[in-house]
This record gives sequence, C-alpha cells and structure tokens, in this order.
Amino acid sequence: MTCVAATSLMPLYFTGELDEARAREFAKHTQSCPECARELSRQMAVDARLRAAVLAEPADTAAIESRVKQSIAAQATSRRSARRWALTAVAAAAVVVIGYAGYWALLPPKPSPAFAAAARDHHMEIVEGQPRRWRTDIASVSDLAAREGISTAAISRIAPPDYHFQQARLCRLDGVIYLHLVYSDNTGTRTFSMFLNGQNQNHVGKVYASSLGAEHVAGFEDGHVTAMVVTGQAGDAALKIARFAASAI
Amino acid sequence: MPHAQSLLRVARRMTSSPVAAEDLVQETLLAAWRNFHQFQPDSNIRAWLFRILLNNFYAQGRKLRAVPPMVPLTPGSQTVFPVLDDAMEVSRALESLEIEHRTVLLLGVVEGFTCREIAGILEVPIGTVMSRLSRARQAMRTRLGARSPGVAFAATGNLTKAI
Repeated sequence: MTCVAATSLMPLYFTGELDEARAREFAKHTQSCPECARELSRQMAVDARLRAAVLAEPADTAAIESRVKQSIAAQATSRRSARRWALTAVAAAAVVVIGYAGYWALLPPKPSPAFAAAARDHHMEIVEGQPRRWRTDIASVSDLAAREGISTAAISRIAPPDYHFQQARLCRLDGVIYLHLVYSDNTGTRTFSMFLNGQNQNHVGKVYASSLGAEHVAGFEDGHVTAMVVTGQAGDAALKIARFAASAI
Repeated sequence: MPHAQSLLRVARRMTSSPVAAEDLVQETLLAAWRNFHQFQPDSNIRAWLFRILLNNFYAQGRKLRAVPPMVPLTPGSQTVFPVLDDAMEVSRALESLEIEHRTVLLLGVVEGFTCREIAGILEVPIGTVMSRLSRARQAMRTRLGARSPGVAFAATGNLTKAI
C-alpha cells in the first residue's frame, strides 16, 4: 500500500469501516512507514481533543423535552387524521422520539367519558368481581359479537398469543352498548377487558390512552369499530394489547 | 429523551445562538414525531434523527448559521479554568471551519457515526464523506497549529499563574 492510498483510507480506519483485507494492508503500511504512523497518531490526538471539547459541554434538554411533550399532546388531541391509527402511530412515535417515560405525561389530562366508564366497569366486574351474568360458551358470545360486526374468529384473534378468551357480556358505557370481552393468560394472573362497539359512535373521542386510578386504558378506532382495552397491569401493557388488537382486527 | 442531548450538542456547534440550537432540536423532534410513519423500523433511529436535524438546518438557510467568531484569541479573553482552556481553543477552531467540514467532524468524530451512516444522513456518496472528513481534519489541524494538548495545558498553567 502506498502512502497516498493509506491517507485516503484513514477516514474508514478511524470509523472501523475497513474490511479485513484492507485493514491488514493498512496496518502493515503504517507499521513500516514512520511518516504515516506519525500522521495517524497526530490525527488521533486531534480527534480526541475535539471529542473531549464538545462532550465536556453539558447538554440540558429538559426545557426542550417539556416543550416537545406539550406540543405533541396538543397536536395529538386536535388532529383528526391521527384518529384511525391513533394508538399505534401516535404512541409508537412518542415512545421512540421522546422516550417512554414521558408517554403517559403527554396524554390529555381529562379522559373521555367512555374511557372512564370502561375503567370503572372493568374495576367493578373484574377486579372486585361483582356478580354479573357472563357468557362463556363461544356460540352465544358469537351472537353478541355478530351484532357488533365482529366475527367469531376475531374474538380470539384480537388477543395477544399468551391470552385466551374467558367470558363476555354486553354493557352500557356512557350511553352506548359495548361488547365487553374478558381475556386472561394461562396462569390467570394477568387479565384485560376489551370493549368493542361496531357502530363507531366516536366515543373514544380524541383520547388515545390514559391512566384512571389503578387501571390503564388504551383505545383505537378502525373502520366501524371502536375499541378500548382496560387492564390493571402497569406500564404500557394496555397500549401493547391495543396495538396488537388494532393490527389483528 | 434518548437522543436529544446528542442533537443539541451538534446543533449548538452549527447554529448562531443557543436559542437557535434549542429551536432546531425542538423542531427536529416534532418533525420526527410527525413523520414517524416514514421511519423504517430496522434502520438507525439516531441517524434518522440527525438527517432530520440537518435537513431542517439547511432548509432554514443562513439565519441559523453560526458566524465565525471575530474576536482573536488573546490571553486576556482566556478563561481562568485551565481544564476548559483546551476545549475553548478547540471550539474556536471548530467554529471557524466551513459548515460542511464542521458537520462531518461533529458526526464522525464526536457522535461516532460511520462514513456510511454519514453518507446516509447527508445524502451524499461515501467517497464525498471520506474526502470531506480528510479535508476537515486537515483544516482543524491547521487552525490548532502544531501544538499538542500537553503544550496547551502547560501554557495555560503559566497563564493562570500570571493572572
């Protein structure tokens, strides 16, 4: 390798992008050429100084973060186009762009009445276990689902793989009839409720996800279906389940 | 925020004021959020964010560009903190570079992007990135002179004592 060739490959050497053969030749040359070896070490020293100088400066992004969150929250509640894939797109973008920790914080402070009603319903019937008439046989549940335009196959398809259908009933949330489906995992420790309405009465409104007391609610609209997921599981479980259901429905 | 600090560090060295840098980063994060559907899940989110930052920067034209400092480097203007002295000298050298040179140094040397990634961020051929990096390094060294950091620190020590 000539000095000219070695010099032109230096940028790739510094970023570790030389393939094995060229790296070997490059090393061979710099070991035998004092001029190139000196050039290399001088450049490494300057690079190190540059890195140290720029990285030494503290970069406080707290103010930017808070402005971005406010702006996202404002846009998320006003953009109609965001509605259909509200949950998947808005949440995923917010999580990746500004980090998960800020996600719940950027949601609108007041959940829609349907969200609150769904959280209450789930809490009373599933967490507290107040007696209700549940349907567990798939034939009669299929009847209820059909009225909401949801197929029998969809009942099991919309739950993540580690969950199975447990029971269902019709309920009224904020004046609208929903099919309340309950799913649990094989250990029975993790449960969630899925509320479905096939007439899309827009009751999810502009809210996509929220925390209400001990319950987390996440909703989405797809075509004629309005769906809300309620679970007491912490973190983004409601969000993940809703995202899964949105893609499977 | 995972990448905001990196973005801010680079923005500060490219724009004319700290406020302009913060605005640029804020606009970048919002644009990323708005255009998230364009992001390929398997690709590099950091590189994608930097591409948005640079596109925004160039779209906003000259108003954001940093003006090379007119103040000459004199002993009187030096800080009394010796450890910051070398950083200041390097910073001034960096600020005096052409924006294209400054950009590749910030991305390649400071933020650790590969030449291939920089080519993607700037949407130029990898050969262009390599030659730009070489010229930028050369320009940086010319401005910093032949002094090594050790000499710079020694000079600072004397200066501090003199003060």
